[in-house]
Amino acid sequence: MGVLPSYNSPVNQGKLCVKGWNCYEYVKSPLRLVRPLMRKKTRGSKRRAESLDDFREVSWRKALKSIALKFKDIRKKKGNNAIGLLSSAKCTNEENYLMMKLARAVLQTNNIDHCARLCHSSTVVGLMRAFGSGAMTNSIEEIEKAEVILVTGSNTTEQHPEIGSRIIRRVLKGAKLVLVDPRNIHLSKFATLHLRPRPGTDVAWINGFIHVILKEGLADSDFIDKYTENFSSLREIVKKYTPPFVEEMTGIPDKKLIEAARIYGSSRQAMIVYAVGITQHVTGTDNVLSLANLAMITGNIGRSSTGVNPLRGQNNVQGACDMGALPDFLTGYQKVEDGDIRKKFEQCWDVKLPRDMGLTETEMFVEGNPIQALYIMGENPLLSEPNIGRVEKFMESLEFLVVQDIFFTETARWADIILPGSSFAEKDGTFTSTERRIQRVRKAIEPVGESQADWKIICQLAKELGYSMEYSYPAQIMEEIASLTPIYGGVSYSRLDKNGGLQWPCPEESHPGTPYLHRGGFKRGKGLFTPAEYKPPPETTDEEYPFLLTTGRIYQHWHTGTMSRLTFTLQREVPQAFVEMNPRDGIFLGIRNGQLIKVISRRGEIIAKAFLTERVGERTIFIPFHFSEAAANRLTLDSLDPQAKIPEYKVCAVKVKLWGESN
Amino acid sequence: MILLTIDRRSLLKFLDELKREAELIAPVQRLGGATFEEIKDIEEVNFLEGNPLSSPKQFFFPQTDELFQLRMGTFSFKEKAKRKRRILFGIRPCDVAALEFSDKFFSSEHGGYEDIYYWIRRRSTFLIGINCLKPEESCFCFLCGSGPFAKKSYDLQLTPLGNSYLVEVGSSQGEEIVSTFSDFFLSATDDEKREKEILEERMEGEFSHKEVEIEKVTDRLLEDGFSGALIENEFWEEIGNRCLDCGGCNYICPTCTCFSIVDKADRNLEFGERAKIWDSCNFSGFTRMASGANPGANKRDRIKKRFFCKLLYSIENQGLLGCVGCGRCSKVCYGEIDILKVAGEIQVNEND
Repeated sequence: MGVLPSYNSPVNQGKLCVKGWNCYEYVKSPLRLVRPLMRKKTRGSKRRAESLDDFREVSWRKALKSIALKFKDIRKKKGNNAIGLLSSAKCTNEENYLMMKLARAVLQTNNIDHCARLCHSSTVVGLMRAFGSGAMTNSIEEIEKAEVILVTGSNTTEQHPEIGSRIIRRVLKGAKLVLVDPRNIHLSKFATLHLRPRPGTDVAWINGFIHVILKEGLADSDFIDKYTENFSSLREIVKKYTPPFVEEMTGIPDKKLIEAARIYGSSRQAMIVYAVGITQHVTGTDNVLSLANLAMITGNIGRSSTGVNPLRGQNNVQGACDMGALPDFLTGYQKVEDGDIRKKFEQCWDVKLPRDMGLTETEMFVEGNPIQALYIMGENPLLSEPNIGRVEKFMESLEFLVVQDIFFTETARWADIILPGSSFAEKDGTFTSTERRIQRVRKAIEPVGESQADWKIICQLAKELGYSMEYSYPAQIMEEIASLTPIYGGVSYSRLDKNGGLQWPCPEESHPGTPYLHRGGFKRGKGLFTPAEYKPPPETTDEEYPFLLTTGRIYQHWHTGTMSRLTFTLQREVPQAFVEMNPRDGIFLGIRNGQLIKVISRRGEIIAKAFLTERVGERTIFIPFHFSEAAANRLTLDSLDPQAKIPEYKVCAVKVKLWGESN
Repeated sequence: MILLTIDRRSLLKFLDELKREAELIAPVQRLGGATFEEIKDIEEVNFLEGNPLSSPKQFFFPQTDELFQLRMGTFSFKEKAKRKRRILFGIRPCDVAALEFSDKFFSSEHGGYEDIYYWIRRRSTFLIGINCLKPEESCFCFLCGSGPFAKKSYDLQLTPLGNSYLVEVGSSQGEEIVSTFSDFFLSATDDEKREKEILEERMEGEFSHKEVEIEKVTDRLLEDGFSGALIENEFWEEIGNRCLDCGGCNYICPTCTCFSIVDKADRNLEFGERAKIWDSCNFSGFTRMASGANPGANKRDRIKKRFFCKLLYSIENQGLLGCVGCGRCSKVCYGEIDILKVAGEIQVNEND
C-alpha cells in the first residue's frame, strides 16, 4: 500500500500534505479492531476499561442482536429520547445519511449530532442567519484571483495546507494578506499586516474594522441598499468601536487596525478566510455574524474571489452536516420542525418521524439529561469534548454505550459493545470537502479482519431493530439522498466518476454545480446584518490563574490522534504534547525549554513539556489537544455559545508550575 | 549494437507474450493522472501521454516494505524466495538514470552494504525504456545528462518513429529476448537509424531555452561548502519559508533513497513486523537525536541540505548527479520550490 496525489484533481493538483502522504500507514496497523467486542460481565464497578482484556470477542450476529435488544428495552422503559447518536465527520455521506435515518426513522429520535458541534456549529447557525446558507461561500481556487485575503482564527498552512499554500502562492504574486491571530504562525511571514488580538476579543476588532470602513467612506452603499437589511442597527452599534476603544479591549494598536481595515475595505476582490479560532468561543455565533457584516458592508460577497469562507476541518464534516447528522435539520438543511419537509421524508421512508429538535452533542454529555444510551460512530468525545472530567462523570452514569470505530479509542474504553468499522481505503462512498465539493472515495482494499464498512453495519443494525435498509451499493444510497435533498438533487455516482466532483447546490442532473454562493442576491432573500456587542470571555485570568490558555491543533496530528499517532512519520515529528509559552514567562517562572510542567485549571490538570517560543505572547499559553496522555481538554471550559452550543475552547484561565514543585 | 524495429501492434503482442511469464509494469492513465501499475489487460498500457507523476521507484523501494514478521519467539523473512520475473515497460530516460543512481546507493560500493530487498527486485527486472518525445514544462533531463534519449542502463530502448519503434538492445538479456521473439522484429534500415538521430537532436533542442549549467552549480556549492561563505543565509531562508514540510519532493523523487526502519506490534506483543518506509530529509525528526538536539531543527538548513545533497553530495558519494531532471518535485511542491530555478539562482549568484 502507498499513496499518490491526484494530479488531475482540481483541488490537489498533484500536491498532498504530510498527513496525506502518510495516511496509508494506519490502515493496516496491527492495532486495528477486527472483531466485535463485548465488555466482560466481570468488569466490576469500573466503567472505564483498563485494556482490551476487559472485553471478549463476539460474533457480529451476537453483537448486533444485543444492541438491538438493549435499545428496544431502553426505548420501552425511558422513551425514544433516552437514546442519542453521534455520527462521524470521518465517515462517508452515505454513512452519515444512514446514521441519521437510523436515529429518526428507526429509533424515532432527533438526538443525532456529530463533532461539527465542536468546530463549526456557530458557522452553520451564523451564516445561515446572515445569508441563508451555512457553508463556505466561495471556492478554493478563487484564492488565485483575490486581491486581499483576510485570514483570522486559522493556522491555515498547518490545518488546511492545501489552502494555506494557495494563499502563500497568491501573496507571492502580489495579493495582500491581512492576518488577525493571537499567535505568531507560519503565515505571519507572508502577512502584509499581522494583528495580534487577545484571544476572545474578535467581535471587538471586527466591529472596529467596520467602524473604520464606514467612517472612511469605504463601504459599498449600493450593495447595502440593494441586497441587505437591518444596516442601521449595525451602524449604531459600531459607532463606539473607535480604534482607541478597540485597542483597549484587544491590544491591537489603533494605527494598525486602521491600516488593516483600509486594506480590506478598499478592495472589491477580498476574501475572508477563517476557522475554529473564530467559531470555538461562547461568542462564536456573534463572531461569525460579525464577519458576515464585514463582508456585506464592503459588498465582498456573491462574486468570485470574495466571500466569507469557513474552513471545515475533517474530511467529511461538511458532508455530515449536509446529511442532516444534526438535531434540528434533515438532509440539505431542511428543518425537521417543518411539517411539509417531514412529510416528504415520511413518505420516502414509510414511517412517521419525530418533530421536536433533539439534543446537541454538547448537551448529550451533561448529567441530568434524559440520555441512557449512546451510539457513537467514529468519534472520540472523551478527548475532544471540553472539560473531560465532566464527560467522564456523565459516562459513569450512562447505562449503555456502543462505539463503532477502527481503533480502541479513549471513548471505546467506556463502551459496552465495540463494533469494528473500516477506514476510507476499505469502502466506496462520497465525501464533501470544505468548498462544498462532493467527491468519490473508492475501495482500494477489502475491510481488515472481520471489520465492515460502516454503512453495512448500520443497515444490519436497522434490520435487527425491525426496519429494512436494503442497499447493495452506496450509489443507491446517494440516489435516495439526491431524491430527498434539493442541494444534492443532481448528484449521482456516474457524474462524480467523470470529473473532480460537484459543488453543491447542484439541484439537477444538468446543473454544473456552484463554485460560489449568493450570486445576484442572497439565498435567504436579503442579507441580514446582525450586529453584536463585544462580550468578555466567561473566564478571565486572575491572581490565582494568571495565564490564558488557548488550545488548538498542529500540522502533523489529526483531531484526537487516533490515526495520526499510529503513523510513524507523523508521530516521530511530534511525539508528545507540549505547552507553548513565551520565553519571558519562562524566565519569570524559572521554566526552561523541555522541562515538564504542570498546567492547572479550575477543572483539571495535565503534565507536559514546556516549549518556550515567541509564537505566543506573554501570559498566554497554547496546548494542542491531540494527546490523550496530556489532554488539553481536561483544562478547557464547558461554557457554551447560547445559540450554536459550541464550547469555548480558545480561552480559559490556568496556572503553570514546574512538575514536582511542592503545592 | 543490434538495431531493430517493431510496429505498434506487434509491440503490444510482444508485451502480452512477455506477460505470460512475468509481471508487466507499465504506464496507465487513471482519473487522477498517469501511473505505473501492474498490467492485467494489455489494452490498459498507455505510455505516450505525460510521464507518470510517480516514478517506478515504488517497485524496487516501496513506500512501505515489510522486511520480516515476528511471532512470540520466532520470525520469518518475507522475501526469501526468488521473485517472479518482472518487465518494466515505458520508463523514460530520466527514470532509467534514476535507477542507475539507486543501484549505486543500495549497492556495497563506497563502503555501504547491499540491500537485498532492493536487489531481489532489481535483478529480476527487465527494463524496456522509451526515449522521450514529450518533455514537460518542468523537465530538464538534458541539463542533467540523463535524457531525453537514454544512452545506457536499459535492456531494450524504444524510439517512436511514426507507426513503429526503433529498438536498441542494451544487454545480453535484451539480446536473448529479441532472439526468442524474433518474429516480432525487423532489422532497422539506415533511414530509420538516421531518423532517430534527427529526432534526438531535435528533442535536445527543446531544452535550449533552459540555460542552467548544472556543473557550474555544483562547483558553486562546492565553493560554498555549506558554510554560507558564498551563498547567503537569506537565500535559503526565503526558500525554506515556502516549504510546508509535506515531504512530497522526497517521496516523489526517483533518486531519493532515504528510509526509516519501523517496528510495529499488536497490543499483546505477540505479533510484530518490521518495515522499511520512505523518509524525508525535510522533516525535523529526520535528524533529531535522542537528547532532543537537532542539527536540522531549522527549516532553512534542511532545505539547503536537500539541494546540497542533490547537486553536490550525490556526486561525492555515488559519483552520479542526484538529480535526473524529471521535474516531479516542482509539480508536487506547495511552495513552488522549483529545483531548476533554485539551481539557476545559485549559478547566477556566481557571476555577482
